[in-house]
Amino acid sequence: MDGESSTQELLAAAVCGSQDAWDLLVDRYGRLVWSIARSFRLSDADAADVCQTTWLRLVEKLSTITDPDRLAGWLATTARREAIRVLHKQDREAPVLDGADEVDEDERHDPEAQAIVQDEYRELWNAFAALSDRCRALLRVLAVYPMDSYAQVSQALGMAIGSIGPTRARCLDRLRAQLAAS
Amino acid sequence: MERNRSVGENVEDARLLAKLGVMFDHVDPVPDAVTAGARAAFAWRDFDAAVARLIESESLADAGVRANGEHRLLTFEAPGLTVAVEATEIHGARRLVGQMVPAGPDHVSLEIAHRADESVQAPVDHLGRFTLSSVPAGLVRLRCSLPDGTRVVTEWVDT
Repeated sequence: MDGESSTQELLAAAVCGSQDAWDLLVDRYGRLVWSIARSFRLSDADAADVCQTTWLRLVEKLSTITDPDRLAGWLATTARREAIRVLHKQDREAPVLDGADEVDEDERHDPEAQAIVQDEYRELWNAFAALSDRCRALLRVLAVYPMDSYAQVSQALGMAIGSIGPTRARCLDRLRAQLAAS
Repeated sequence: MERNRSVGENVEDARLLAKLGVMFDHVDPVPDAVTAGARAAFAWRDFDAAVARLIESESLADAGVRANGEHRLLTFEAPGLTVAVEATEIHGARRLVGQMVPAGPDHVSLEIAHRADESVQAPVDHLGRFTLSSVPAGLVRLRCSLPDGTRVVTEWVDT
């Protein structure tokens, strides 16, 4: 069993108690879960909690996940729900991903936007940080975990399936425009 | 059909997304502690236990009791068991007062997600009532055994 093993093999081995298989699942899907948590305005600690809860829920559900193709969508949906729950608890608003693409003034307070960025990536990072919540959420997830279909992306981000293609194209165009302007 | 095209089909778009992916890995990678927590979560597996789902969570924080701290009612349900828990937070300390219906388990364990090697136990009386004091913040769950031997764990909740 290694990084080349299929998700189905890893799920089956994990259900039989293999920590190694579980660790490989964490390696494979950890970036996706983190990217979802990061697309909400959560503190580092809250984003970490969202991930922890998501993985604990997967442990609970592991033996019932029979279709490996749905694992990415399940993890993303679970992480998203947890993030929204944390936001509700904080009496703050979740980004409305089906809303307008305007850049929010609160962007500056976003912990994601405050990361210390190495020079090599600063230009791209600044251009990305200048995008709307909706664009950032979509591009981040697509960038770290290429999904097979818009149906998966739709499920993961709670976006209408018909709007993903146009939104993706528009967000990438805006990113290019930001890069060109900088 | 346009909407069924594989994501990343446009070469230029795919290239830009790949650049973003590399950037995220450098600028905002998954923290080691998050990966360690995800791996450690596996220690909590108990595939044979029935999971009592949280079916209701009612916050009473706005019902005039804010002076006493946050106050929540949580209801969990598994086949054959309902657990109702009242969680109260006073000065940062949490207390859980609960009841199992039907009564039967003689004790309940509190499991704390970030402390994999210990659990706190409390007796359950003949009416199914129990009290757990000094519950830490963060994710916890309750565990008990029904008289027929079925193990039941609740969902993880942050009380």
